[in-house]
Amino acid sequence: MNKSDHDLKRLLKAAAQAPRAICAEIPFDLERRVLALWRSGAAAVDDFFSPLPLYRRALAFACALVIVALAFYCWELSEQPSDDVVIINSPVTLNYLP
Amino acid sequence: MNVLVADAGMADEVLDVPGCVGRVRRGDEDAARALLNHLYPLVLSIVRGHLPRRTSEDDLTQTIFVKVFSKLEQFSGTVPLEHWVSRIAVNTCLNALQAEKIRPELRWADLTEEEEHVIQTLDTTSEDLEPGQRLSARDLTDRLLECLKPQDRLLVNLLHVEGRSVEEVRQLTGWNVSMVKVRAFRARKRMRKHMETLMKERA
Repeated sequence: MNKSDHDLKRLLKAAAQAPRAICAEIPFDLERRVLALWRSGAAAVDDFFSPLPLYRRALAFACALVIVALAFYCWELSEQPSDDVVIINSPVTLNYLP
Repeated sequence: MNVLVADAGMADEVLDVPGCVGRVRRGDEDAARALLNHLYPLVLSIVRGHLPRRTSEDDLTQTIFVKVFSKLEQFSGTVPLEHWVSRIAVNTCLNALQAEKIRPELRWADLTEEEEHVIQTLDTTSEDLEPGQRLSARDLTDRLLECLKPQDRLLVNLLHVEGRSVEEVRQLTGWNVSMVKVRAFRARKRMRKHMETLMKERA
């Protein structure tokens, strides 16, 4: 074990041994607020359903759709037109295009 | 963790937890108050261990309790209530830590005199820190942890400060064992790097 490893271990060991005063009784106002919210049936806003992450997901989904659509468009452009399309287009090409 | 379980165990002698949960589900306010008081030390210890810098301790505790009470119908009773509540508390703290976008860069000039002394002792001796330096060591550890990513911070706190086992961390976070170990290894490496920087600045 090198010195910095050893130093970190000693620091964490001392930190773990530090006393932590934990108040055994819940403060009255906190108890009152929690009970009031419980009585009113208020549920904590779940992160999955809060609007901001929902918007983020919608944006990511829309971006993914755009990328797929662009990829499909590029692929379609790179494809040669089928013979049927060439035959149908041939009068137009012969008569009207220079 | 041992302390928490011991505390919860002592309180169980007084409070019939499953009965109390049942009464809370039926809307008994006295039971809700009793459950709140029973769980408060456990929740508070988790909140204090993983509190983001700009978040109020009471606000985070309140959020956790509201989640616990609103999800109490989903509590199956297959695990002890304290474990179920701990998991909700840890995940809520992790979400709060993740919302804290900016991680500060720790400099020698930011340290208090006591924290400087801890670094000095670590650098110049190889023995354990004196009991009188433990609180400063805890403050310094908290400052170093603030420089880490939320998941890393949570992990180092759970494993090395609260002294929980890898299995307990796995149950609390839902991450698998190898992920816990690898992430903890990397987190310690980052902490070492920050500490080495401080020691170099001191020199």
